[in-house]
Amino acid sequence: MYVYDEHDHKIVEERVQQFRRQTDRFLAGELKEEEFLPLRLQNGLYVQRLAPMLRVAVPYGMLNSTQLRRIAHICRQYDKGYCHITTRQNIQFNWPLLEEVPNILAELAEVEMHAIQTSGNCIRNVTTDQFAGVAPDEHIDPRPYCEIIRQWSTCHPEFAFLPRKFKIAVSGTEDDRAAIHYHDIGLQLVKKDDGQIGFTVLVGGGLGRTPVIGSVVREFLPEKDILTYLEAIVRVYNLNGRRDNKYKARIKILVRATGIEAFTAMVEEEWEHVRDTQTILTDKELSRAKSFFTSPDYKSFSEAKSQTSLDEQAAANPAFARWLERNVSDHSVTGYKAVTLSLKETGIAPGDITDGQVEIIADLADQYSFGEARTTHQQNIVLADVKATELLSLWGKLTEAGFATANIGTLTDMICCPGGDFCALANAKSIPVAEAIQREFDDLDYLYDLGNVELNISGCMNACGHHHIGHIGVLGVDKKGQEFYQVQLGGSQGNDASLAKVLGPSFSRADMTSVIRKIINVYTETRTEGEEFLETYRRVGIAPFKERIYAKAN
Amino acid sequence: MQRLIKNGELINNEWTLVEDEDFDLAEFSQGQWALPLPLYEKAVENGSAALSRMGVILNSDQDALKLRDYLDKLPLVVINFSAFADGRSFSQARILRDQLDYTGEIRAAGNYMQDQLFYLSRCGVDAFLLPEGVVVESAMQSLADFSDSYQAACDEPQPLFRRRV
Repeated sequence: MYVYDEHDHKIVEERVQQFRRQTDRFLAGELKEEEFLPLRLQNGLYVQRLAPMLRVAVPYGMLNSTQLRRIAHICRQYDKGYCHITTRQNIQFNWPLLEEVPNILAELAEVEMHAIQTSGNCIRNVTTDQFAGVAPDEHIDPRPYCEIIRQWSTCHPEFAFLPRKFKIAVSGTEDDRAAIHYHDIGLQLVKKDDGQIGFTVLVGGGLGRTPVIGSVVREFLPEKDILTYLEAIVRVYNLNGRRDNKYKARIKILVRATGIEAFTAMVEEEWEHVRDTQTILTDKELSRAKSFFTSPDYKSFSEAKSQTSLDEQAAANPAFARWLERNVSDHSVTGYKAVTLSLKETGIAPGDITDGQVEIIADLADQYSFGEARTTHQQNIVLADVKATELLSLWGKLTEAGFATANIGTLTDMICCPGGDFCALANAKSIPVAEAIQREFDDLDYLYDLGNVELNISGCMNACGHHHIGHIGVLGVDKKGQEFYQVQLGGSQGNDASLAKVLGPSFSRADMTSVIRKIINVYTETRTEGEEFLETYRRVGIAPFKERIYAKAN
Repeated sequence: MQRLIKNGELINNEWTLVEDEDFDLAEFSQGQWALPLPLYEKAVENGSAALSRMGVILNSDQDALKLRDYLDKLPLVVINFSAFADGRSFSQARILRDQLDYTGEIRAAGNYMQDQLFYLSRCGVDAFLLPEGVVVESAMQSLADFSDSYQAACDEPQPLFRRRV
């Protein structure tokens, strides 16, 4: 993983000092509330319903055990003993004191972390696949490029006051696990037949009030041109994006209004001015970035031998077998597996984690996975480099710590925003809905029989819970001061990207479990042998679901 | 009177900003005046003898490329923030410097804030008409918030990755 040099340290430390001075001026009444607002947002600090909330960047989801221990310390020292993994792979603290935030940022800087641009109308934390570097279907490791983009976007002097927030995601795999179709810029790494590496560049995807699938502005952009091309796109957006209405300010609206061809022409024209500047990447920089993401010191194992012993362990222990099936993924190196720690235990807000649990993850990362862990946009944690021979031992420890709920990819592994319990923007609570559904579907065998079902819950149309791209999406709405929930079906975040369709009129919270139950019943009664939920939905359409749910009681 | 920082020093402001587009050009017997773009264009059209004493005000919603034909005779471009959150001014300044090779003064004015000084200076703004209420010492510190940056910009043509040893 990337290691700071003296330049990186200096920039992050100076940022902390800058924010400390700004906070002091604000507290002394020398900086107006409306002027402090964008400054604190760009340092990750929201003021929420109950308290300020601090969002810390986890660049492309990578954390080491030292960083995890510092996070645990911050949970204890400055917060109420827990934190939250967000849908953009970041970590949130829900209860810090405004005047202590500069101290928290200073503590983070010591372990090469920061909260720069985790909020506000600027370029946000770049995200990627949680299995980057170990996924069997990966063509090119996206992390060196993510780090290059992180550095370019950090404290970019020209792009700190964009019309609206701006999100970039990178994918290097066959299966898109970074949702690149739903980002302001989505980058797909590709390798040409002649070995040349570059990107397919998508622009204008996004969720929120107006969900849009991104459009291709360039089929192939050589890797060295990535920063100059990003600079051109963001400059075109900065100058031309709408600033009169914040709901129409994202780049997707500009792309739609301009038309993709005219928009592309504007970008290409701007690029002609910047493509030959010093910002073009060098071989030296590419190899420097790649040098931080080399393979750890893997041992060699025989494929047959390690699989046989796993099979034997699984046969002797059905609970372990279920966990293997749902929470363990294949690895590009023989004898290794990637393990997903479920943060979706029933009764715990999805993505929430205590200080003690964070420390346990740090210890397990040291013991089983080269001292590293990753956050996922589904709000779980991954240990990416575990020896197959040690899975049984790890599983025992995860079970004790509350991380072994074998529900990854199932209905109860839901994405859920903090909702009305915490968020000032929310129209409705989302955590109690998630919990009620988890309680309703508590039979693991039944969940496995249902297979892969993605259920995403957002407490408002800002869509932090990605409801548009869940197989089942739930959106909290406010009707005359009452919380209601709209249900959508058929969304997908992968390369077969699709946006969910609204089922019909919304439901009260009390009705939500029975609505989900009916949706699942229609699926189980309609599916053909081996057919997944999304496939059944795509085959039969929304009508049978509608009929069942809105059928008059008689 | 509004204070002016130029090239990192507090100096006297010798330019008057003209906001009124109906201002009578005949009044330019002396002094230095920054004009709204339409008024400046009229002065050029009329072959005004006072052009060397005229600068232009570029509002956030105006295209910097419109200044292309005038830049060789313009001593001053004022980028006028309508609101501090309107970041177009940052790109306008960079276009003036990087694409149009403008070497005269670029001065920030209007509704921007002290905490934008460092980024603005990186984008090629070399003079700042300080907003009301700003403490000069504090502004000087904001202007030097960072001693290093990742990106290439007007103050540093090489991005950090070309400067790392």
